[in-house]
Amino acid sequence: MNLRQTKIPLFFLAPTILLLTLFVIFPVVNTVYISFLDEDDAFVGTANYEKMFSKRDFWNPSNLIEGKAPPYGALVHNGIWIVLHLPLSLFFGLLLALLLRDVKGGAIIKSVVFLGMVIPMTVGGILLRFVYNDKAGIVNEFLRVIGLGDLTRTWTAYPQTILLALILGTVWIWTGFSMIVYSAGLEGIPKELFEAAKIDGASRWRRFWRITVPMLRPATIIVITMTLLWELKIFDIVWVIQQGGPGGASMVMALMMYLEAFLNRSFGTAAAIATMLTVLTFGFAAYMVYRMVKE
Amino acid sequence: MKLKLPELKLSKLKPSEIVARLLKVKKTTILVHVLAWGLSFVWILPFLGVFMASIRPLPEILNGWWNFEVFNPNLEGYIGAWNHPSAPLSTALVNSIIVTIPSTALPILVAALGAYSFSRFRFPTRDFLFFVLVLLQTIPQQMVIIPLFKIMSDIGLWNNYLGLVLVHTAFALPWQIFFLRNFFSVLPVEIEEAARIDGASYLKIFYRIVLPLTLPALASLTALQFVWVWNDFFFAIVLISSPEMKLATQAVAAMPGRYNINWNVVSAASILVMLIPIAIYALMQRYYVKGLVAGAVKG
Amino acid sequence: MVIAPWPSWILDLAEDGLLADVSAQVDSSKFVQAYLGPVTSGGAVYAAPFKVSGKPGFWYRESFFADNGLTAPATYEEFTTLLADLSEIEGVEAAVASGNGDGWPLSDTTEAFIIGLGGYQLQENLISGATAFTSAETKAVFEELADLLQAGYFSVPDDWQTQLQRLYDGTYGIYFQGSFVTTLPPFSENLEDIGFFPFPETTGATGSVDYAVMPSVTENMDEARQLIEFLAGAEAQEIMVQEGGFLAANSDVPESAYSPADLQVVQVMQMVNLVSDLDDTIGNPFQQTFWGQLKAFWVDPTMDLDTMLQTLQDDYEASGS
Repeated sequence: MNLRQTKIPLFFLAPTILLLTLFVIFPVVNTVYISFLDEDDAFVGTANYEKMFSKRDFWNPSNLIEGKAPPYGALVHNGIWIVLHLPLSLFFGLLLALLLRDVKGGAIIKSVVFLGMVIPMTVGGILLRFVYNDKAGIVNEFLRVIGLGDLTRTWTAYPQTILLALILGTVWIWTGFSMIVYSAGLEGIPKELFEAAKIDGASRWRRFWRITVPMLRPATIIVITMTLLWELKIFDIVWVIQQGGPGGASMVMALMMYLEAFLNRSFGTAAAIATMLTVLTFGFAAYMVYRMVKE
Repeated sequence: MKLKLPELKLSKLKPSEIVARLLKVKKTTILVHVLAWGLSFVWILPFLGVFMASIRPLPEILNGWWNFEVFNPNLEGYIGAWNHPSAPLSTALVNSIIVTIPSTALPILVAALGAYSFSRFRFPTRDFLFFVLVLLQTIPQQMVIIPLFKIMSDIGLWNNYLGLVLVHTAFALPWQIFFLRNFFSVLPVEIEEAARIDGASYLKIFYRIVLPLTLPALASLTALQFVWVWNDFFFAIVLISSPEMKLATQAVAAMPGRYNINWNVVSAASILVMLIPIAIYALMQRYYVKGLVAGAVKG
Repeated sequence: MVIAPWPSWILDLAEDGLLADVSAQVDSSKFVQAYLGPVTSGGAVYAAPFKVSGKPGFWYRESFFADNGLTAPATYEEFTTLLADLSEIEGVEAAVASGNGDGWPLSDTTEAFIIGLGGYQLQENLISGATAFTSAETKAVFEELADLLQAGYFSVPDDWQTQLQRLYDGTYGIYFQGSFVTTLPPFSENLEDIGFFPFPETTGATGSVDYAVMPSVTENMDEARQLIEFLAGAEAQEIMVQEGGFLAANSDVPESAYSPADLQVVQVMQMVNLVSDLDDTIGNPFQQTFWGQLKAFWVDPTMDLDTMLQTLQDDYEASGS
């Protein structure tokens, strides 16, 4: 339709513009602004960012470089989360999607695996606490059953192991997402492609790499981007388990931002952390955003 | 009923081959099924554990819920969670409903109107505004919360459900508008044009013709938004503080902290809080998955 | 009107002008300085203390001690012997139960050691800043704690309420906790079998206080003030005491109002100097860091004490006055 009057669209658009400006756009700009102010609202340039990096809770790579146990600082922790969680949940999601294509009851299994995505993350945190408990948790019982009883402990009580334990736990939670996206992606691949390849004598492996993987590219982009964003924004789980402890070994950026803002009341530092977090999310989402806008 | 067993030379076959022959399927299919069901069992174990913890007395849980020699289930966990002195689920669940329903209905309404504009009308700055919209989808909650806290306090909507609902509504708009605009763009315009020629107003065209055709998309948005709002914790803890107003996610999170309760109560509370979003997902699964997969950029 | 147990947060709000001055509703002669001090700013009182829970000492099951021929220690030496004896008993995984939560059970236990080994003035000085966390006297306390932790006398921290059950089952021997545990199962159902002993030779104990505050601007100013005055008064507090498990802040409440178990707590609390809770009074960012550091220290007592104490000192200074 080709309508030149702008009165009508405005009426349709007014609530959107109003709500977005007041509750999203202005706050975003304001947060950036606050990140350059000190407690007395004086402009202090990048001082808050420098302060942020000087905090052990945010940036403490010396432990990592020296090969010691965490804490390494929230920024590093989120980074480790990405490095471990992304490939694992992508792999398991794809594996499950492939496996469950022709399995009887596959739909039920998919729903079960996806449950982790549907529950609140505070409950997810409670589930993980329970699962990793020394006596009452199934992870330790599993270790005992396979003969590794010496390794049992409450995994979330130790700085050395809490981050790893949480990351693996979030793989369990998030794999459902990549599985569902890949399942949809797989269904969208025309069967004829496989038929033709089979006739041409291509092996299973070849068919997978030459047809499946490239056709799954859009799905992979979505999975990678959404997973990256999720890994950056982890909050509820860490809060419920040890509030970033012990000794800051599970601190993440979103939690640190909250603590700085609402416990320590240093809004400037908190705004700096939030801005840093957003720059990272923008950066990681840039490619997907670019593709979305191209349409 | 008489079973006719096929001839098998059992001595020469491995078990998996025996099963395969019996079921007349390929060996790999057996393996795949075993692997799939095995993984499924692993995946559901934590849920099974928390369910067991919610119905059994504390000593049984402490010794491992997988032991069934002593098994005296009871409902004390649920009663304790429901009536908990500082975080009762009886009120928390209701509070969550009070917030979630408007936070689901309102954005859909606003987003539909907005998305329609982007799709059907041409106006200055349209493409730029849409670009901003796409960008806004990636903003984390942390980026807006400080000013929102201050704004809400200033206009008296802090610790007030209306404030929280408005925030959830605004936050939902970017992705919902993006989603709906894409939906509208493949909706044929002929019917609308015909109605326009007949003299119908835009509003009438919108809710008489367009909305009914959009129902599947709206269903997706409803499912996704409901679950997202119900599960939200961050906006809730900053914007709602009175104990009697706390939402379900806050109640559950408060338990293993200062007011730690025994495992059976915490587990029962967890089950109660997660039942609702699971139910929504189960009832609206098709729409939920469609929405998620169709590039719904919701974190 | 709001109930809050964190005096430093109350002071923050008061200094921001968000709370009403309630000096007129609170009769300061009826409350010890340890209760009023942390919520007084510029001579004005901003909160009414009404509920006190003491952290009187180490709780234990009396029949368990009797069966194993153990007695409550009167000196620190007897205490360490007790820890060793408890560790030898079959079925006991650790002599002392450690509680987890956001971290307060560990900080309570640590403060008991600070006060017990360093004297109540050490805690007061740490709060006021007269003594630094990096000082030799403070370090000595932590070194002693590190030794005990390394000897395996303390359990790995687990949910503090679950630990009550484990203590009762004989998995642990003693458990440092607040007086309110007498209201929780399994203690509440077996009060005759539960006892406690204060930290041997200690000169002080921490009490944590629940305060009532009201905002500086509210619709029902008069009613709010009346409620505050009521809660601060002896009558209301006596009623609360009779519910069990808590002590009254108002010193006019008679001893007869307490149950025997609570009365024993009151008596111990009266014999020692009452000290404010360390992390509650100093506030954030100290409190979060303190809790986090203790959680790590408990599972790794070989960690470098100087680094930890410096971290505590840094965050103490960042927590303002």
